[in-house]
Amino acid sequence: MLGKLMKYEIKATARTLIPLYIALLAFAIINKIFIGTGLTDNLEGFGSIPFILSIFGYGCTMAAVFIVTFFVIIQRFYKNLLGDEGYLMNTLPVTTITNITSKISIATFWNIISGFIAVLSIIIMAFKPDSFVSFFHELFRIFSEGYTQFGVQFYILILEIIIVCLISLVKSLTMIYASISIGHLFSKHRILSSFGAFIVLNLIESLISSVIVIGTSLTLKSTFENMHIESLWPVHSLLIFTILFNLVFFVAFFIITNYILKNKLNLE
Amino acid sequence: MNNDENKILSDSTETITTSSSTNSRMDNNPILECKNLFKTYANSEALKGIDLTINRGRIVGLLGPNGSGKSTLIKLANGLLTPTSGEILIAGNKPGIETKKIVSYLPERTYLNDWMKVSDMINFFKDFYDNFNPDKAYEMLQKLNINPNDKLKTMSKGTKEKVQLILVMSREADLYLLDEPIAGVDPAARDYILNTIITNYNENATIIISTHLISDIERVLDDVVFISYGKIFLTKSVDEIRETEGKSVDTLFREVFRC
Repeated sequence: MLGKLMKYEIKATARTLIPLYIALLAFAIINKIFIGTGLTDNLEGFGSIPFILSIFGYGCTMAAVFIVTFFVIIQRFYKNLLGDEGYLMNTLPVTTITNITSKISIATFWNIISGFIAVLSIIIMAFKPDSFVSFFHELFRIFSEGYTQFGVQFYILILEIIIVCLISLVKSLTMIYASISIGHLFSKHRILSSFGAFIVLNLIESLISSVIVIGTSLTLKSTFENMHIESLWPVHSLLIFTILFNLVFFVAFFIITNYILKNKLNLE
Repeated sequence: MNNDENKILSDSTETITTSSSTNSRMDNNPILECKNLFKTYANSEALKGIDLTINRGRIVGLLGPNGSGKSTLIKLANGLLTPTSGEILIAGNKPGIETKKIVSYLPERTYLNDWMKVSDMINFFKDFYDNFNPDKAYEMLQKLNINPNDKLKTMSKGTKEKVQLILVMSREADLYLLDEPIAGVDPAARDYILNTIITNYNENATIIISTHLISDIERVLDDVVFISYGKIFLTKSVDEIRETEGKSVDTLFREVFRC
């Protein structure tokens, strides 16, 4: 059932996002043509207008990609589960957990794709065969140097950084959903209440994190000082701690969302 | 018109005879049961101790004035609300995945995705409900002159309601919960829809129709439940009302809820 929900979630969101991605990549290619053909070298008078316009279009589309991604993620949860469509979605023979999981996973997916497309558009514009080769050359050099200095540790470190990024993304999305759900508890001003809930949840999270950071830094200061510079353990422990910290908050936000949707649902 | 009415009447008598025989067999397994059911919202009590048993194979009218708690009761049966206290059971189970598989629900709101085509919605229902019969849906769409390839965005409110009803009635469910199914539809389509309702379900299934348009649906009902200010006022079969009170359900309703 989760697979089917995810399939419909992708269908419902792709029709907004895919055209934007195409537009962004198209602008990038147009800009690349302007740059590549040397049209930009002697920009004078009216000749520069098309290029300026296409750069402007690119910038706007880039901003739109991220704003729309964010908007779609919120709107899909709010409208599909808590709006009129909720009468259908909440009476399907699936658990509330499955419904929320499909929303979070697809939201994460689009966030990553949007980021990927943005980077791709920059690569298109900056593409030069020789510099492209030297970029990868550099990248491999960094990897092999890191490996000779730290061994397997280096790759574990990269893996940890990726996990940190992923889990904090998932946690942030779940925080948004938890805020919308809390806002839904109010009978009036639900959207405003959701904003309020988001600010409060953010405050709580940063309060707890700063308490922990201050607490641990005092006790760990001496241990860190005694360690060898070459050792990656301080970095490891910091990253693993960040992963656990985000994981705990993700679970908490998920439980809040699930509890409200399951027990406190009150569709208009 | 006369032919249509006769058809409805003959169909409903058929259902009554078959359902009464199945009823005696399954009396110990009611499809819907409420035990001292309370539902309180932030500032008001919607249901105040509902005790109700509805058996299989019946067409039941859930009748009451606006704000009497009809929709709240139906939402509770669908798990869209949780009871403040008391219990609601569908085929012996609390609302959950198992009950959602056997309950077909028509809410008062339109829940269709605007950007989808009717055929997309049919595929959606086919994906999620094992008891959904797409052939039945396409057949009914054809009879009502609705093109399955039309986008829902372009449809009028009444057409959307028809599509939604077709989707709901194309499921072979044990319990149909229809909240105001005919309110937004023109009188001509009402006859077709009522006909659809009583001809498109198996004899073991129960249909609960919530409405205040009693005169329109009276002829198809087996039983009526009067609900008023969150309490059950009366539960009787339509035959009983006609025999003992000597009046129609509509007249009785007007007398009971006189303002």
